[in-house]
Amino acid sequence: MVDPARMRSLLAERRPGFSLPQAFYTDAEVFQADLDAVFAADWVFACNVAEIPRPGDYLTLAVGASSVIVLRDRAGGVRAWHNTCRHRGSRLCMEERGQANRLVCPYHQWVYELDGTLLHARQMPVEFDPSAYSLHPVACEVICGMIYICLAEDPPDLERFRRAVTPYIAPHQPDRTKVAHVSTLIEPANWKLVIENNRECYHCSANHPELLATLVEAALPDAPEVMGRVAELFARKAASWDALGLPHAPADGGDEFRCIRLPFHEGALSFTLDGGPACRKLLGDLTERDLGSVRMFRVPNNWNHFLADHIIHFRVLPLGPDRTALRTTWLVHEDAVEGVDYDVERLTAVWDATNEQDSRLCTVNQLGVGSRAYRPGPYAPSEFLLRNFTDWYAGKLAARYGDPAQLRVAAE
Amino acid sequence: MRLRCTGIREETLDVRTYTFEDETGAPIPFLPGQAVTLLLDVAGEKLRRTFSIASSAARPGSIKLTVKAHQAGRATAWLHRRLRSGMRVESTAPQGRFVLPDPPPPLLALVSAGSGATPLMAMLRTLADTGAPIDVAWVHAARTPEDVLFGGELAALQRAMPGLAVAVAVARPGPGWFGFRGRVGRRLLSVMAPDLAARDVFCCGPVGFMDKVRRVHAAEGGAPGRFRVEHFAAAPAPPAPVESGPAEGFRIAFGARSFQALPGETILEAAARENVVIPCGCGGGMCGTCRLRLREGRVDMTHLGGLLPEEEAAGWVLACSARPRSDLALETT
Repeated sequence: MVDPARMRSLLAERRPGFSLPQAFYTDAEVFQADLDAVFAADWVFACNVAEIPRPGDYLTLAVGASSVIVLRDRAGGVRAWHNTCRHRGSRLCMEERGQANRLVCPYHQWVYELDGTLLHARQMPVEFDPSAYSLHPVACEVICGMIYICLAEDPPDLERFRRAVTPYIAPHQPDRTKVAHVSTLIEPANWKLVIENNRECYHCSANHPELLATLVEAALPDAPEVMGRVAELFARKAASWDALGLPHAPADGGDEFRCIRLPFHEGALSFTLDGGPACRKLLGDLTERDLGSVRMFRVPNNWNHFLADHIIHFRVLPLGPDRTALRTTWLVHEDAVEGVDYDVERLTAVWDATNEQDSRLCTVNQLGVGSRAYRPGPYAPSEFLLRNFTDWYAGKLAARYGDPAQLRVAAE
Repeated sequence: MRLRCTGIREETLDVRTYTFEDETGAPIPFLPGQAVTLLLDVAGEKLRRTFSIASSAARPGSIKLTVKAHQAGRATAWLHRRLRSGMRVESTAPQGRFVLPDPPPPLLALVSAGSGATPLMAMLRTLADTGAPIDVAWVHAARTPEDVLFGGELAALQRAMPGLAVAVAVARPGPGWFGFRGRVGRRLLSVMAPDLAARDVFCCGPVGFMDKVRRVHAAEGGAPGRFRVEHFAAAPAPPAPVESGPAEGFRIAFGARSFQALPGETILEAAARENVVIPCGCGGGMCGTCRLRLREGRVDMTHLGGLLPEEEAAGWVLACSARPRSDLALETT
């Protein structure tokens, strides 16, 4: 159970612009609060529709203790169900991915149709009404092929996000892709450290040689320390994208999301060790190879790169106060052929290395944050996106556990 | 050489095919995809225009030029209005590097827009005549169904060539049009020729069209080296030389004329400034029309395939693509 008074006092300790007090990274009760106030309340990125192309294809994911089945129904639609039988609660699907004609409980073989209705429950009396025992639905939205789920009874509005990011992402047609590779890393770190690590590139120069072969470290046009050379590169690329009708300026997502198209280093086309193409076949109907990457981040658990030749989704799920699962999915054009158009090792080399390096950094960060001597430290100016994130996070906790006065403080 | 027109055939409302024979009756050897430059006497003015040969290279007894009358084109308008069977015109020998290799690649796509179909038709007719068992995708884009070229003949060729698939798209379809519709882009091409990336592509049409098809071929994963286009329009001039010479430039002796080339000028630029006429076509090192024999001197030359390696070795240069590096003596033969 989460004690609201304790959450309020922890929130009161927090200094905006500083990393969070220790308990937010280490404490079991705060972790439960995160699950309740954030992961069970907001939209959570699940996967790309390309992972479940045929009717009956499903994927499961754990949002805290609640497992969710995301599946393709017979009509081709995407649906999400709680992964718990309406009989005595057994989990239905144990695999992370699979294909099912019907969802059959392994315990007593209650049979559910893909649309969630209970088709058959053997040995139940004649007066038993199966229609009262459909699977519990989970809210589910698809944005350009990206599936978001929400455990809340009354999910928050997702339309502002959809409207804002669609123009950036739609040209890359994430729904016309296929999965080239999936990797899952279990990081011994709190999920907020994983997100914070992703939101800044202050650490990049010393830690990510593979990534910096292509990524322009300081290319954020709204960052406080943009170098003249980078600004010139950005202006030139922006003009070419304007000519193609592709939006690039940062979308106004407040603390909730961020979407921007940024260039790679001059001459670099894709996230590869040499900056050359990662997949010969370009995505969707694109015919221009030099599109930089659209970087889209959405709280609480998702960032993405949309390039001309591939897409990478990153999904963060909290497993414990100091355990987090990072799932990375590489997607290429639906007709691309492995060994002909792309090579998995070449496609994944940069972000495999970067994920490993980030995982090590998050591990040592978690270890250090656990120290008796840890005190929150100030964000650098280039870490302004961390401030957005922790402010948003504090706001979510305050909304659930705080009183109105503290809610205002947290929002400042 | 002098060509005698031996037949005229209407292809569409504004396209006609002219058959020519060498007036001496000698065969006209050429490679499928090559072109001739006609020297036409139009209202007292000498006009040079390059036309692709559309007929089979396996039938060198005559050549067929399929010509569209351009609204603003004086030469093509003259051909359509004035040229009659039996008349003679002056012509260069067939030339050009946009040719079907021998042996041909096993998977081929011939992609054209409008009258760009002509050199590709020479390739296809040659393949049909030589009986090569080859998989060819013929992809053609036209303005309206009435503008589609070679429709009847393609149907006939398909009987002899089971590996010939034909896909035609028109921008402005009408009732009774059952083919593809719309402008060529990645999505349309991906259904007209789904395996385009696996094919060796020969493409001819307006510059914008060829650029679009090239981008689609690359976007589908095709190797750039397996995409070839015919260049008729002027291309960017070859890069300037790094080496500099005397401030006043070099002296060029050209037949009886002699003139000065300023530093950095191509032979053609210098000649034009001095009103010395050197017959030229593309101006970009591709068509070979401005070829001259270098008798004395050295040049810097970067061309785009307008000369064969053996021609270059024999001392030919392209006036548009060569810059003097010493005083020069040039001749036309």
